[in-house]
Amino acid sequence: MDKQTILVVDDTLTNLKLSKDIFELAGFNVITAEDGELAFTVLADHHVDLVITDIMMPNVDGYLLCYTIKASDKLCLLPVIIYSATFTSSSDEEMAIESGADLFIRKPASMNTLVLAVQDLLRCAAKLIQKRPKQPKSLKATRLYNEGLVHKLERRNIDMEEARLKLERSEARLKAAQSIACMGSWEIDLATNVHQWSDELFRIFGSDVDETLPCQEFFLSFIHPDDFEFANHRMTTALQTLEGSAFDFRFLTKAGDIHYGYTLYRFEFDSDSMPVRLYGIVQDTTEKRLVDDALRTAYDRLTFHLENTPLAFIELDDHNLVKSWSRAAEEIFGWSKQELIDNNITGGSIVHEHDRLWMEEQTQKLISGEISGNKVQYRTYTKSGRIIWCESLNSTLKDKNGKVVTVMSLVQDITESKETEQRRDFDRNNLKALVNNTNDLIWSVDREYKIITSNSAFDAMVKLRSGKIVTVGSNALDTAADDDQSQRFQHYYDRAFGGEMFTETEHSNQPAELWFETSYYPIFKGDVVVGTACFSRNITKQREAGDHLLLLESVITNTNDSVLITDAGAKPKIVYVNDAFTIMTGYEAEEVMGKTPDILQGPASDKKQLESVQEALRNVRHLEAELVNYKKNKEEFWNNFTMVPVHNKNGLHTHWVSIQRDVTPRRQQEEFAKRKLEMLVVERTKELHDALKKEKELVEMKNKFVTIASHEFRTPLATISFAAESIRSYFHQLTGDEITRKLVKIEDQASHMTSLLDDILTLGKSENGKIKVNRISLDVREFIESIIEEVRSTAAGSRQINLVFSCTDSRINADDKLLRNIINNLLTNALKFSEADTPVNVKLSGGNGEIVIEVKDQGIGIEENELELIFESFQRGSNVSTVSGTGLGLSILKKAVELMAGSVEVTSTVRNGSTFTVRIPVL
Amino acid sequence: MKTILLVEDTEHLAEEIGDILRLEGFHVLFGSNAIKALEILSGTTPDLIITDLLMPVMDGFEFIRHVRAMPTLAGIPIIILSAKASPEDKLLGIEVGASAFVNKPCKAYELIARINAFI
Repeated sequence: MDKQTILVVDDTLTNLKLSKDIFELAGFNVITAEDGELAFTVLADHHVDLVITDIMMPNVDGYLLCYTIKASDKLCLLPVIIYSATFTSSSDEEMAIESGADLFIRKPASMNTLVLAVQDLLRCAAKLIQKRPKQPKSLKATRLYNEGLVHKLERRNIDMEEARLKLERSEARLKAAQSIACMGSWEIDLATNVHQWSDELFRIFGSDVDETLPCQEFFLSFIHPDDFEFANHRMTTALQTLEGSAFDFRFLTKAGDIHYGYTLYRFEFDSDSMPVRLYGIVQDTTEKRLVDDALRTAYDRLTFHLENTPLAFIELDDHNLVKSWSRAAEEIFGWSKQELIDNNITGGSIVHEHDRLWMEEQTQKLISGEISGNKVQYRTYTKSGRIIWCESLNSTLKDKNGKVVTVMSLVQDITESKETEQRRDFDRNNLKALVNNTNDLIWSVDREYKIITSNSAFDAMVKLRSGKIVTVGSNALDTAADDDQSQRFQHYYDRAFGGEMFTETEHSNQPAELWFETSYYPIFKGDVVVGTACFSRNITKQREAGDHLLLLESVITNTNDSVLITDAGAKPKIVYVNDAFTIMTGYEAEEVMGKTPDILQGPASDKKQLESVQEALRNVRHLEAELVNYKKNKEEFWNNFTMVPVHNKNGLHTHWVSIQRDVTPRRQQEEFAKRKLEMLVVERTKELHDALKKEKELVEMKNKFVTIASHEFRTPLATISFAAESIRSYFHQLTGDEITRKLVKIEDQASHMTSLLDDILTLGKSENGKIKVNRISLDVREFIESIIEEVRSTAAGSRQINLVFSCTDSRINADDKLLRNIINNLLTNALKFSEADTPVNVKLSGGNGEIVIEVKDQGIGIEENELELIFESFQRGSNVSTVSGTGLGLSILKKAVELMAGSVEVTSTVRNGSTFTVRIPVL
Repeated sequence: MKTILLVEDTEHLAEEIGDILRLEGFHVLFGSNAIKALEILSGTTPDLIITDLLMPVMDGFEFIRHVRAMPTLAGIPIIILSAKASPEDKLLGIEVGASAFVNKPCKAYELIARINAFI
């Protein structure tokens, strides 16, 4: 079966909703309408099974709705319940029935009552569906309606009576209120000039209510003498001008106290605008003034503080607009009050973009009342663009409705402290990182040996050493591997507690062979030591390295080479020398420590080498050099040294190591060899020089030879030329004899030139080794005698040539041509350079494989200084005068003798003659 | 007749030059060496002197110096006739005061032309 539909009509929405819920719960469809008129619309469009309506509704009320439904042909069978609180009498119900309603239910009714009534009515309606519906009686209904209205008017009268009673009650309350507010009222009936004062007004002036009839004079009698004129004037003026006004005044109470008063008054006019009444109030404002004064003072003080506090005072209204901006705010932010008043600062560019969003949220929370205050730190820009950190204490002020009207902020520039804090955080974190990341053990203990702090390296070591886990508060002595160590630890801590700062080396074989170097520092609090801070370094490796170093050092100390170590400074200072150095230089180690190796240098040290040492120092370069150095006793020695830059494991140049050796003996040997070589060179040079000189002389000689030879040829040529020319040119002037003589002369000169040429060629041959010695056996006596004869026969005049022969054997082996040339030459010369009347003596001796030929004349002789030169080509004695000759004879002679491996000597005295002696081997 | 002093140590050459000079119409005085020539000059003043350079005792250069040192002979023409005829010799000859230099051997007419140029 379909759900039945109920239309509920009520102008009270809560009722409407309640009814809807009730009936829907009961299984009905519910349609609602807010008044009768709307109900009609619903009924026109929808099928409705029942209508429940209120009575008092705008437009069309419940009665009219019911009446209209029941009067309608179409809807007359629709059951209508009137459900109303508008019940003043039983006639209401009657009127409802009269208007055609099926049922009248009084509000409030229980849910069950309502639902049961509806269900009953619907059941009845189904039965009555065939029956003629009851028609509302229209006339009677109207009458009843009007009666209802009358009834309502009566009801209103009763209400008015109630209102009057209410007024009385409120007057009483007013009176009480006046008393509480120290406010009295007064009025003057202008027609009768009757003054009326409220009781409170008497009380204000300290007067009894019934003491006297109030009047203007009475009022003025209370006025303070200083204000009397003024008050009187105001009152009089008011009465003249008929204008309401108000003024403050002082008055004296009956008890003589000075009070402050305030009066406010108005005129009341009748319909003809005539004044009928002057009424007003008087208030004792003494207390208010005191409160005001106190408030003002408090306000002034507060303002003073706000203005003078270094904190910026900022006030925002509920729209986030600036209402207050103190001087400190101007100083902190740079913006003046004028620039920011009535501006929004939280959303603008003042707050740093990183903080802007959450700041806006916070401000919104404050303004919305979600929170009443907060403390925030944020960054803002100052007017100059600088970023500063601010701490702001915010609080809100609410009006009586609990609505936030202002947000007040006390702002402090905390940039400096923020930066300090950040720095401190940074430092602390850094320190923490350092402490926890170092391999050194770091911990501290208090005076109870309890661990206060420890780093991870310490914790790890303790765990390895003792198997214990370190926590703050654990006993530091328990971290030892054994009791001995524990006792030592206690001793160390005690020393530190005594204020001592020291370093100890600790050996441990737990968990392995380890060496630690631990520094203990007392921790002071004021003058009192409250604990010990400990820093422990694992030096096992260094110790191992140290052992290794000891070994190396012993090598260095005991080596025969001198070792010198300097630091790596610009002027390196000696930091170590070994014993060998002392032996080499005579300097003890302590004498040279901190000095530069320059102490070994002196005037003979090679400057160039020293410069290269300096360069190697500058360029950190390996260098080997050899220098003259000086011992302590100034003795020179040759130092061969190598210097090597030494770097630490980080590659930093830290030292120079120099290995030095005294190489003086070697150098001396070298020097000796060098000197010897130099001497040899000098010698060889001289030899070479001499050879060169000889060569040069030879060349000069040859040049001279050519010059002289050409001269020797020119003279006979000139004679031949002149003779021949004179024969030709002066033939007719010459006699036959003269011509003959000239021709003979020509022949002679030609033959002279021939012999000259022969000599030159012979000489040339001999010098070029072209003459071969061809020894033959000959009888030397016969040989020489034949030559003597030959020479004598060709000599001018008759010359005496004596031969003395004393050879043991006349048979000899010799080159006959050469020998002839020699003997011929000697004899010719002897004859040529001696007077015709002097003899030439020839002595031929020999034996033992040689012959000696001696030719002695008594001629012009040879100058002593010319004896050496006489065998040279073209050299003739200076005293030869007109004696002709080629100057080649003796040269050729000498060559011939030499070819036969013989020798020639000459002794001579000028003008006494010469003796030539030739020795020739003849075997 | 013009007189020429011929100083020449080579006898056969002196003869030939002397023959030619006489045939050319000169009176010839002979000095077989410089000393002898200077002896002649101490008594006679010839119109011209012909001298060799390479001579024993005193060479031709020294001889000319001596001649030029004599006031009466300062302006006398002197012809050097020599086989020693290097440029240095010629320069030295001029320095000591020779008037001309003729190489040995030379054509007779060349010598005569030189003589005639001065006399």
